[in-house]
Amino acid sequence: MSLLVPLALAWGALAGLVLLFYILRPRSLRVEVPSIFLWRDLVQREQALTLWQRLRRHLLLFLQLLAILLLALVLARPERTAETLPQRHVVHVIDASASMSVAFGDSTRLAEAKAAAFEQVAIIEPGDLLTVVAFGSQPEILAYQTRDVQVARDAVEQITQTATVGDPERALQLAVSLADSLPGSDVYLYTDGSFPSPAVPESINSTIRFVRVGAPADNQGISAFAVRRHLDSLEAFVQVQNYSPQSITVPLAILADGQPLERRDITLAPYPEPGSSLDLVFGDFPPGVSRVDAVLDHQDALAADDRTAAILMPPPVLRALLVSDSPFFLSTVFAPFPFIALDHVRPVEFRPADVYDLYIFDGWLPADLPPGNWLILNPPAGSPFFAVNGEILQPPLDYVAQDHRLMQFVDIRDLNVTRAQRMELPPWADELLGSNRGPLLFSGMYDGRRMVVFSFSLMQSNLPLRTAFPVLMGNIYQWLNPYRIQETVSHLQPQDVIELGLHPHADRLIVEKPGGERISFAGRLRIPFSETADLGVYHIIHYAGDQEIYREVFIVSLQEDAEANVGVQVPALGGSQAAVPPVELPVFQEIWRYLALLVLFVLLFEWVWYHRVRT
Amino acid sequence: MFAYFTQPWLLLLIPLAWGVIVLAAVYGVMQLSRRTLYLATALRLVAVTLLIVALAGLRLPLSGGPVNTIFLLDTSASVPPATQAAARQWIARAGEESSPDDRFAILSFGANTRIDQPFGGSGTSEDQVPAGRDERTNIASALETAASLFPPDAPKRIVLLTDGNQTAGDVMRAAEVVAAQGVQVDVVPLLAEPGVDAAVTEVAPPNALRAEESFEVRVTVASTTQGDAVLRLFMNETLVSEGPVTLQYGQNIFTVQQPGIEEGFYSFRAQVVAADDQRPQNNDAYGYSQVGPKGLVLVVENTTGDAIILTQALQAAGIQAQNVTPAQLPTSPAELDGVSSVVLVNIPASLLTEQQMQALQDYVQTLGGGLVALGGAASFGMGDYGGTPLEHALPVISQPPDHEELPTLALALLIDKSGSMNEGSPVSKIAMAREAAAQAVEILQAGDVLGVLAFEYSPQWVVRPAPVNNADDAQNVVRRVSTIEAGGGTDIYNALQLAYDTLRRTPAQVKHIILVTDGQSTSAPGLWETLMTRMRRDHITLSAVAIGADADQNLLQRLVRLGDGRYYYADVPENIPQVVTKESQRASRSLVMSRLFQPRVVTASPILRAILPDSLPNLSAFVRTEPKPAAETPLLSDTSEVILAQWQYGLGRAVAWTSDAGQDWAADWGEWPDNQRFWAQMVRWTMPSPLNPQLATQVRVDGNDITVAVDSVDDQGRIRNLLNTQVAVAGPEQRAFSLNLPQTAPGRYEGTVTTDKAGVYALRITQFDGDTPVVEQITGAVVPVAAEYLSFETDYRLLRRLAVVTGGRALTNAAEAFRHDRPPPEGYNRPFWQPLVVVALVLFVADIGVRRLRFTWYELGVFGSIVRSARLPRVPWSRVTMERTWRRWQERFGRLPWFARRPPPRRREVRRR
Repeated sequence: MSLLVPLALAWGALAGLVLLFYILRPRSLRVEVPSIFLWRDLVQREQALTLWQRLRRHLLLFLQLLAILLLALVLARPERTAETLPQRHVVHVIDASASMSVAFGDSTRLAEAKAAAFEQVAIIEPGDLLTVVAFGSQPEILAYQTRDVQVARDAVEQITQTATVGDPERALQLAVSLADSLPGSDVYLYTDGSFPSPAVPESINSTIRFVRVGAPADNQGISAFAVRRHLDSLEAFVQVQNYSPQSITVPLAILADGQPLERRDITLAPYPEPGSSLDLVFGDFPPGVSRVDAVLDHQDALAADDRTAAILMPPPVLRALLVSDSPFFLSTVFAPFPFIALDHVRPVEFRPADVYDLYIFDGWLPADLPPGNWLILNPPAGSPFFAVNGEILQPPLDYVAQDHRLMQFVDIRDLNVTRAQRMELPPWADELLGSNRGPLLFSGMYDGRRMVVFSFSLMQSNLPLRTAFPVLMGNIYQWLNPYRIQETVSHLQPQDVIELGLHPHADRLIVEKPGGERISFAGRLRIPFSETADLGVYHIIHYAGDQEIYREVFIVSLQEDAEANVGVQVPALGGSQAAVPPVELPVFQEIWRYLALLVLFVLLFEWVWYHRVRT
Repeated sequence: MFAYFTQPWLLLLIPLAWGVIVLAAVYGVMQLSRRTLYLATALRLVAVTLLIVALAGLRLPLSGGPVNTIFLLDTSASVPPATQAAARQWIARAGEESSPDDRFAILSFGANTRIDQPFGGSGTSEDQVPAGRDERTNIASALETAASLFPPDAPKRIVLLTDGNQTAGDVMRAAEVVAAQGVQVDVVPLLAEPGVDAAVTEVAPPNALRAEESFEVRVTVASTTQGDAVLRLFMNETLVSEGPVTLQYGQNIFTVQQPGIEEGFYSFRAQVVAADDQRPQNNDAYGYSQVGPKGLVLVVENTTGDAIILTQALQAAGIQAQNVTPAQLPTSPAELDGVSSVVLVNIPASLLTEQQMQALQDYVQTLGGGLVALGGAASFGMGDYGGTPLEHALPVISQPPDHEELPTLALALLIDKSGSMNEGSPVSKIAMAREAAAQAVEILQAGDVLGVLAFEYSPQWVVRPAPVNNADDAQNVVRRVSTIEAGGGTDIYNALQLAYDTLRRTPAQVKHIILVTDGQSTSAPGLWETLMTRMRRDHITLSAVAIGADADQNLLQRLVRLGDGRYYYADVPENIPQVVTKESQRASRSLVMSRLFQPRVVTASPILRAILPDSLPNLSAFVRTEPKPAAETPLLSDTSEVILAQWQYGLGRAVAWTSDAGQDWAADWGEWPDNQRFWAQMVRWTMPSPLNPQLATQVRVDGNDITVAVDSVDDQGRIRNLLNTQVAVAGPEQRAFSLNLPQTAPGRYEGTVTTDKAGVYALRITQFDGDTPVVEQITGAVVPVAAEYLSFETDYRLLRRLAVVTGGRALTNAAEAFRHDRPPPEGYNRPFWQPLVVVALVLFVADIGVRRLRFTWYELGVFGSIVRSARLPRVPWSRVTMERTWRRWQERFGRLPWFARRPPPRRREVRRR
């Protein structure tokens, strides 16, 4: 037996206090009597007034000391070697990716996988620890190191079908990491093998066993789809793939705003022959189309890849205000950007009540920064927002954050700055350009808004004359623009992570999932949104109070060969088997609960003994 | 869930235990007063209840429970082995500090992530783990992998031990993702100590070259020490340059000059070898150039020899130059196809037609051609560029800055008064010449010098050169000019000689002569060259007005060419005043600044690359212009006027050089060692890329992966779809392979090539329509060698932000890795039995105390006052305070049994049964 918290035995010192209670003479009980014949016992009474008495054997004392010592032992958390068993960790990894939804008969591949897992769980050995992991694009632990078969069964039961692209590699890595804690452990992978053979992690102690489920099935799917506007006309590119070993003709329909635009019967060669994949381009869309759908109008094994869509949504025009006394360079560089309405005022004409999405302050700042995103150049000294400590002359450019998104394709090595404000880099900011005497350009999120700050005036540098200038300002414009300025909406795979940003005038946003579920976010600056497992159109609605001020959308669809190719395969897992037998290990068991039960009994017995019932 | 029990059925013991306790108290032997019994019973009930609740496995969502910690150790090459070993010892120390319920795993990462020790398992001893030498650092991937490995039963914490130098992935994005999964990231910055190291960080040959043009390869070497080294340059893996260099601490930039090479694709490798270099892996870096066909530069000169210095410089640089006269310049941009740049050497607008100038403008603006205008006395404002298409294309306005004080002018008006000047109807030529002189007076600024010299065989000053300061001076000039009468022959030479001798001694900044004549000079032809040379030397310029067809136009045109002036022809006498006035105006605007000065470099420019500012020779004059707002002015005069201006004009580039091409004003530049470099770089900057990309290609290198994205559009701007797109890749070992780029969107084709070796990869992208090649393009990509070895210091800023984003902190103490300050994850509340057992234990002891000591309520009140007194402010111990305290204790505890004094007698109720 060993103790997990031996220091807790110190609580046993309380036994000393109890002993003290027994050494001190207890006070006599005061009783009123009708007679004074007891005065004779006066001497004895005087003896009773002494403070101390000799410690005597007493059952109560023994019980009380026992209880205290047992409680101290309970707190020390003793553990014992219950038994020595061949122990192993059995990790059941169940594929719940899109291809597992393929039906055969009344069942699906996932149901078959779960049934196989039930069988395996049922043959648990006494020393086994069970863990259940389900995976789509990400693994999830549903039961962890339990010896309870029912817990493991319940975990398997609750696995639900996803439309995601399976990532068995990460799931196996997790499983092996868990299983390797015990030699001779097993990892069971229940899957149809619809993925490229994963790089199986090296295992020290465990063996990976593949349990194949499902039967080969025929599938055709849309493997690529994109819509692009070019020269005022729309073109849609569709790639259709046949994954079955037979040649097949399938109808492909293109819908514009829900109305049929074109329908073609496509003949595809058997997989994997060259003609099994066909690229198609569609044009002649009516003007003003806002949604284009591509639909394979037939029944096959996997419905998830038979339909996809593209949303065309011209973004709102960015309202920008340039506050400057010398606006030439800034207005010149911003004017050609798409979807921007740039107003210009001089600092004396600035009115805080005017609402804009983007404010550009050049050499001047208002007392309060208005809500919106900000581009600030040459902030004046005394600004409450920045620490400006004088000026620096001819600061050498000695730092360029070349990997930063705002510096992409910006070659600015020959930047010369005559004079800049000496600023301290705020803690919220990323330095983009810097000299050894202070930052020259930085960006970041401040008070929930995006901000870019040049510490110098454009007029005091050669930046506006460099070819990098419009590139840099274009990057800055994209980042400061609260609206997505790509006309064609982003397309995601299920469970991809998308970064949401709150509109500067909004106080919360709601993501409306394809099924109608609404998820609200507030007070977050950047929100990595990962609940994209459902296929369909997601709406991101920005609210200021109860008013909707901006809505954007993105689409989640399945366009992945690995999932669409639903022929059952056996993944190559060679080299992953660790032929290590389970070793017999002592099973440690904490026994505080038994001791605590004993203490409970002692306490009750001690209480009863104290109040011995008269017979 | 707020709280739950793991064995809730054990709660059934509570009523059972309560029953036993209450029954025993009610029916047991009376040993206590009633109130004391109540108190003891209550204490016992609570203690037993707490014990049973603990047995039932109460779990609460409280902070302070165990944590699951993953130690993520950077084993990339940028972390020295000793630092890695120290980090592993740090992890071992942290492990020893963990509590029994804490669990941890150890992962190491570079390009990939490895599990060194799983949760609950045992890992390899830190002494047995060899130091990692991964040549990539992907912190983002490591974080995401680690985040997916956590058991779900406890708060998740990653302790990241790294120098923060990521070479792949986006760590901040990964940080946000793992933070959203509830993972906290603490950081332990590891010191990056490269030791003595010299690394080639960049090799920058021109991306695009023209065949046979000499070029420079810029090599950047970062060094952590000072000392000598050897720098080698390999072209297509053949050594082409080797030499000693001296390294300074920090960035060192070296320029390696290379002769012209043939058309093709070239890889470059620079290598630095320094003594005691501890990281040889970063001694090489790569770059590439594509060499296109030779370019042709048209050099337009009015007088043969004007452009000789420029032409020699271009030829020395391998640039093919063709000299033409203004008349030979094409009149349409299409005719300039194949010409890379046009250089105008002191060409006045009057020698170019409107079509020629328009063609030049279109050539630069829409065809992307280059244009260089070199100054001289017949250029820019002096060449009447104002308002022409030529001026539109140039980066300067052909007027002096308005705000500048004008230099003083000395103007000599030479009027032919030979007999033929009496001709003309209704007014004679001589009358018009007099009128012209009178009007010229009106144009001059106060302080300008005017002289009027009338000549036939012999010259005579009608008005000796003198300042015209006021109206009286002007009236005097007009009065004297009106006395000129015609008669005699014509000898221009003597008149010009006299005017030169006089002006030479005049202290004006700009000196100009206007010659008005209608005849043939009787002077000997051989005299002119010497005189004109002397005039040029003394910066005296000459313009001429030929009146009528009898004038010796050939001579006059020759003279103005030699005199850096302008030539006018007045077919009728009435035009004379207008022409003279115009020329006087031009001269009075003082467009030429004559003064010896050294130009100042004010901004960096490719034209001045590798030229030391202090080495620039002096200039003696330049044409005054004003830069356009979007122009760059790398060189200014001592008075901050434009010497060199450059800009992007439409698709092309244009340069204005306001001094001359080295004949006179820039004569010192001929002796300058960088003379040829300067002129060649000036012209080369204007030349368009020799490559004519037909595809919009984006090449992105991420680690070993090269991603190629092609947007294909035909000549009419239509998207090209459904083409078979192949990219042939030739790597550093010359093993070529081919890859299909599938179409992913209308007109867009994308694919990724995974390479296995650092170096230069040539990518030949070909699009086929069936089997017919439609379009082909060559581009390149550099897979950098050992990006890992190019880091020299720990990125504390990144690590601090990473910790802030995930709610973590920078750790200094190993024990902090297991600090218990986070609530458990949902569904995994913290076991709460220990606090319950502790309280039960304390209550049990209190219960014994109550029963043994038989406190009265009064004494309990005293106890309460003691507790309250414990809150009194502490006072320093002294004898007085000790005595005072003792007395206070006497008062308070004297009533208790173990004190001698008895409590005051109180009436007690005796329990009766």
